[in-house]
Amino acid sequence: MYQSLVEIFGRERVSREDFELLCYSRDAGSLPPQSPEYVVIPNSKEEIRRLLSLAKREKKPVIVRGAGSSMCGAPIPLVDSSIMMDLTRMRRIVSLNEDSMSILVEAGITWTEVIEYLEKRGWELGLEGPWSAPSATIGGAIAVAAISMGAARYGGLGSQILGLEVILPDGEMIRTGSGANPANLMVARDCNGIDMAGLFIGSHGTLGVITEVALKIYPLHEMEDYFAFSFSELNDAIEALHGLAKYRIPYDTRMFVIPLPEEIGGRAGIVFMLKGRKTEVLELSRLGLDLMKAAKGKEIPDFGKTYYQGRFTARAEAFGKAGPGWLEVAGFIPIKRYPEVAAPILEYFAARKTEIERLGVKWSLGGLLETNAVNIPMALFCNESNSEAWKKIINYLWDLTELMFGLGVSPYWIGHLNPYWKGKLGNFYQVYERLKKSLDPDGILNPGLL
Amino acid sequence: MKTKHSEVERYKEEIYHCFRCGFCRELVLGGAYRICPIREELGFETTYARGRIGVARALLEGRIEYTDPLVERIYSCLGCYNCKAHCPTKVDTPSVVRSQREEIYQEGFRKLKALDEIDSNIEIHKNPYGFSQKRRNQWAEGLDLPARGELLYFPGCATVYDRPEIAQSLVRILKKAGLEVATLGEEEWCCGIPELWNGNLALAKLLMEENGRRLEAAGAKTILTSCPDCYNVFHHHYPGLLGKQPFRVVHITELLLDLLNEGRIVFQKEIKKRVTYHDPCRLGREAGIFEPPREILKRIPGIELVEMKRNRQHSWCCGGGGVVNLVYPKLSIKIAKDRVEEAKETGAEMLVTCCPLCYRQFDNRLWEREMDLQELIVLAATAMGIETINLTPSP
Repeated sequence: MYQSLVEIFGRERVSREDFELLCYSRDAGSLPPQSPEYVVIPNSKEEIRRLLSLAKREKKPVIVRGAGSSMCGAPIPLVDSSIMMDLTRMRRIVSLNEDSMSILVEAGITWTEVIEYLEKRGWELGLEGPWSAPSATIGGAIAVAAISMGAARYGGLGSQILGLEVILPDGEMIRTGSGANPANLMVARDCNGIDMAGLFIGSHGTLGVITEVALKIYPLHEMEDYFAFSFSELNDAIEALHGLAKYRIPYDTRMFVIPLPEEIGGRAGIVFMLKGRKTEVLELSRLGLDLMKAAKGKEIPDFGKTYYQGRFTARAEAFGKAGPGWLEVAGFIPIKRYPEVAAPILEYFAARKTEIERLGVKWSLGGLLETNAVNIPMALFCNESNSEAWKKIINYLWDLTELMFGLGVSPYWIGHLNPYWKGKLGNFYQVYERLKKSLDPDGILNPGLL
Repeated sequence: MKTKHSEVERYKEEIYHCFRCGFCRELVLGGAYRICPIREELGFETTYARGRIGVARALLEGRIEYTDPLVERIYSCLGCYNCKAHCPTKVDTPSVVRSQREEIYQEGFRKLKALDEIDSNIEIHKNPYGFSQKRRNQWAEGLDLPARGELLYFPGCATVYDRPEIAQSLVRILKKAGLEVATLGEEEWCCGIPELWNGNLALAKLLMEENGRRLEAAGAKTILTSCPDCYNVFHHHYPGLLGKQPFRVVHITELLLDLLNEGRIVFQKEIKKRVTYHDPCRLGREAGIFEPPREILKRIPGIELVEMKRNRQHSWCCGGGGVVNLVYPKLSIKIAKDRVEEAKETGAEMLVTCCPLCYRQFDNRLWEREMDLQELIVLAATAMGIETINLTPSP
C-alpha cells in the first residue's frame, strides 16, 4: 500500500511515521484520538481520484480532513488502518466572478484568506465562517455544516453556496447546480431539478470529497455597529432574542448565560452586530435599541465592540484560556424553547457541583441566533493533563448529548456524537444509509461517521 | 530511544496550553500571510507548531520516543517565532523545540554531521566556522579600540568573520558621535546561539559564562551588539540560563536612533533609492525591535522606504534560523529566495536587513537576486559620508 501511495503522491507527500500519524489522530476537541495508518497530502483532483480508486480496490477507508479545527471528531477515524487525506494544500482561489457576484475556491482554503482577498477588491462573503475561521477550511466547514459568523442574517452555510464540485467515492467528479452544465457557471444552486449540493452540505465527507466551492459575494459593507445588553431574567433575554430574529435586525447575535462576562453581569447577556450600508445600519440600530429596551435590557457600553472586533481571534483566546481541553455539543431549537432546554442542563451541573469544582472543570452555556432558530452550544473545558478531568468531561458530553438530543435539539455538526443522534430521527437515518450505500457501496469514505 | 524527557517536562504547562486551533498553520489575517515557512514547503502537521507541540506532548506521555526521522523533523524548525506571535494562547513552540533538541543531544540521538562540525569548531576555535581566533580582531585593525570600557561592543562571529564591514562601520559611526567603544578582540568567544539551537546547552552555557566573565573583567556595563542573535543571547538567554544580568544590553539600531535624535550624528549624503527592510526574526519578533531600523532608514536623505507584504510581527523568516541552514541547506535557500521575491514585489531597488545571517541567506549565488542588498549599519555609515570599507570576507 505504501508503495502505491508513493506512486500517486511521491515520497514527500506520504507518511507512515508514528509521530506524524498521531498528529492526525485528533481535531481541536478533546475526543479520544485514533491514528490513521497513512497520511497523504494531495495537490490535485487527479491525485484524489487515483487515491479513491486505489482505496476502493484495496478496501481501505479514506478519511477526509480539512484544518482539523472541528470539535466533534469529524476527522478522527472511527476505524483502524485508514488513509488520512489532508486537503489543506488545495487552497487556490480559482476565480472571482464579479459579474455573477461569486467566488470559486478550492475547498482547502481558509475562510480568512478568502475574506482578505475579497476585501482588497471591494467585496465580502455573506458568512465569515466558524470560530476557527483563521484556520478552518471552507470545505471542512461545509462538510460539517458549521454555524458561522453572520448566521443571524443569512442562516446556514447552504444559504451562501452556489455550487460544489465533488469527487464521489468511485472517483467520478460532479458539479452541482447551474455549474453542472459545462456551458454555464456556478451561479445558481437550486436548478436542474434536484438540489444536489444539499446532499453534501453537512455530510461529513461520507458521500464525496468536496474539491471546489462557489460562494456568493456582496459589495463590501460601509459600516459595522455593535451592541451589548444585560438582562436580569433569562426570559427577558429570550424575548429580546426573538425580537431581533423576527425583525431580521442583526448580522450576528450571541447570547451568554453561563458564564456571564464580568462586564455584562445580570442573568443573561446579548451581544449583536450590525453590518451593511450606513443608512441600513443606522435604521437597524434604532430598531434594535427599541427592542432591547422593551425587553428590559440594560445597555453595556463598549463590550459589543470589543467582542466583535476581535471576532477572529478573541474567541480562540477565550476558549484556549478556559480549557484548553474542550468538548461541545450544540444544535438548534425554536428560540422560545431555550429556557426549557437550558433548565435540565443547569440541573445536571448543579447536581455535580462538588465534583466539577474538584476537577477544575469549566462549562459554558450560550446561544447563537441562526435566522429562525437559536443554536444552543453547551461546552465543557478541562486541562487534559488532568486525566481524571479529561475522562470526566467525555462522560459529561455523552450524558448531555443524550439529554439535549432527547429534548429535540438538532445538531448541525455531528461527528462522534452520531450514536446519540441517529436513533432520534425516525426513518431519516435509514434514508441516509441508503444514499451512502448507493454512492459508496464499499464504505470507503469516512466510514461510521454518520 | 528511551529518555526521561526532563527538558521537555519544563514546558509541560506550555504544551498542554495548545488546543490545536491551527492558527499557526497558515493564518491569513491582519497583515499575516501564512505562518510557518517550513510547513509551506513540507506540508505535514509535524512541520509546524501544532504538530510540533503534539509530538512534544506524545513524548511526555510516553506514546512515542525519539527516532532518526523524528530527530530530523525536530531539527527542521527555524525558531522564527511567527507561530508564537500568532498563537491565541501564546504557546512558545520554539522553546519547546529547543528543549527537545537538548534531550536529543544529551542522549546522543543526534546524527547530523553538519551540527557535529559546528560543535567541534566552537569547542576548538570558539567560533562556528572553524576560523582562527587570531583573525577575530582583524576587522578592528587601525581603529585603535581599547580592551576595557563601560560601553563594550560585542560584534559576534558572523560579523567579524563574514561581514566585518558592519563592525567597521559601527565603530566609525560612533567615533563621529564622540563615543568610544571597547571590544574583547581575540578574547571574545562565540555568543552561544548556535549551540542553543544545536541542543548542546552545556556548551552554550559555558560560552555565555566565559564571555560574561571576560566582559565583567573588561569593565563592561553596557554591551552593544549589532548581531540580533548576540543581542538575544545577552538580553534574554543570559539571565534566563545563568540567573543573573550584570549588563545593560543595547542593539545598535536603538543607539543610532538616540544619536540621530540628539543631533550627534547626521546623514548628509543623499542615497536616492527605493528600499525595503527585512525584519530579522531575532531582532523583530524575538526582541521587539521593529521601528528603530525603519526610523533610521527614513532619516537617510533620498531613501524611500516601502514595506513588504509581510512586515514587522508578520515578517517571513530568511530561512537561516534554528540551524536549518546547516541541516536543510536547500530548503533554507528556497525560503530565502521566496523572501527576496517578496522584496522584489515592492518595486524596491534595494533590500536592507540588519543581521549578518539574514544577509548571508540573501547573498548566495544560487539564483539571480536582481536587487541590491545592503546591511543597515553600513548604509547608515555611507549616508554619514564615512567611506565604506570593502572587506571581502576571507575564505
